[in-house]
Amino acid sequence: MAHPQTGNRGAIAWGRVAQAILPLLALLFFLAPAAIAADERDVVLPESGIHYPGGFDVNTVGVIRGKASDVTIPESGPVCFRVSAGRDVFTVLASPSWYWKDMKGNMVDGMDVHVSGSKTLGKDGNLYLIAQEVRVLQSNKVLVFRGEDGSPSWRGGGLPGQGRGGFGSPMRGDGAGHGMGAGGRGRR
Amino acid sequence: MRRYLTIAVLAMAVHLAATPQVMGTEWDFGAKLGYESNVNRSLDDAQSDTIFTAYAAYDRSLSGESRVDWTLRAALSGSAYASENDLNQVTGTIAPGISVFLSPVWSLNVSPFLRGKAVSDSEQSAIAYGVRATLSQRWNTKVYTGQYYCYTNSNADEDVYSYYENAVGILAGINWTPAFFTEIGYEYAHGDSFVTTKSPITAASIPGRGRGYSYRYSPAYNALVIKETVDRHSYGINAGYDFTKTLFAVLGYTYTSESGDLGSLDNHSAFIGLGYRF
Repeated sequence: MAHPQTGNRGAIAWGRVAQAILPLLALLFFLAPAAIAADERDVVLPESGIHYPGGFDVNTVGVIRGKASDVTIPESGPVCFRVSAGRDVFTVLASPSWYWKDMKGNMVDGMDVHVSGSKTLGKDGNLYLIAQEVRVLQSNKVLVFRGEDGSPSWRGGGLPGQGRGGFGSPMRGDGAGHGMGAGGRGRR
Repeated sequence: MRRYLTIAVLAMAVHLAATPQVMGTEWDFGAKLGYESNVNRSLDDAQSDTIFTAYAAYDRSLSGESRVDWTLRAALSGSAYASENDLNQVTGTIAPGISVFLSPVWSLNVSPFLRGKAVSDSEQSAIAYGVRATLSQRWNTKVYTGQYYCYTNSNADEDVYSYYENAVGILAGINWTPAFFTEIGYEYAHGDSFVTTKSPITAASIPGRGRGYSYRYSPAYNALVIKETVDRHSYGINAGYDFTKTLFAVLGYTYTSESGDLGSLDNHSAFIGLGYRF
């Protein structure tokens, strides 16, 4: 398979490298930081000072039981509702509105609920609970908002394996995960 | 030119390392050692080879805070072949996209892509573009499935290596534990492909000549290279393990068979890889 490659042919090959790769590199070089700068997606909620959605702390996970009320659906940020649990009133932070609506979350309003999640005290002096799971006691319906480690369930888009070397990952494909044949390199 | 490319790659590596990581974005560096049983795509004289590949990739994944979101994937990879040095190559890909959460379980991503590839055998260097649509489902924390369609139009320096392709695939995966997962997948593709042969095929013996077949002698393969339309079936399996949140390893195997008017060929490929994401 070895063949005598002339200097001219090698120059053409690497010229092709420049044509093909360097513009892409330049694009990535300038585009990625701009994308990141505009991409601060873990925000601090103004009233409570809680980091959302990253403020979940597995060390403060607990369960409250009470009547749910005052569901608030903001344009951005988490849907929240109140749960009166004995002498305490918790503000429960649930999920983005699209996820809440798809889960038919409004069913909790006025119902007795069990809510598990991460408890925290807001800078406004109110009690908050970042919800993991809400169980409506009358219907036994369970709404899941986060996994055991507190990871948001609404981040479930895409293929989990593509971030871990599986199908769709650069490890498997041609650099951007395309192709499965010939080890993921398709037709070359 | 090698020097300029090296400088560019180093500059990007420094740039990536210096850029702060935020939620929803991910850098991924990895390397893998692979094997292919028919690296020259031969109908009658298959050559196997070992391939070392390294890559750097950027991925803006979904935050899920809105139903519709944009994505960006960009990657630079380089492959070196142990024996067939003419196939050594560098590939750069950029793929912006848009994703829609159709429901808490279903999501759709549509992503056009542009890919540049430089091969030591310059005849195979190519620029490709296309689009990929992926429908994915996360049934629960353990089980997920996906279906995709991908159109690729690749234009190489020599027409015999150019191709268009329509591919559809399905896959399924299980997270057995938070650290360990396995996946299986199948892909069917229809389009152009080149094959090589040592047989003395002449223009007169190529079936369906006049329907877009092209052929030429390749010094790199030391064989006749012929482009024809083929159907390809690929079956793949992956197993991955996360040592930590940033360090992961993956094993993969793919069996591919393709057939056209000139005959059929198959290929076994396997790899083991180590990656670092942050």
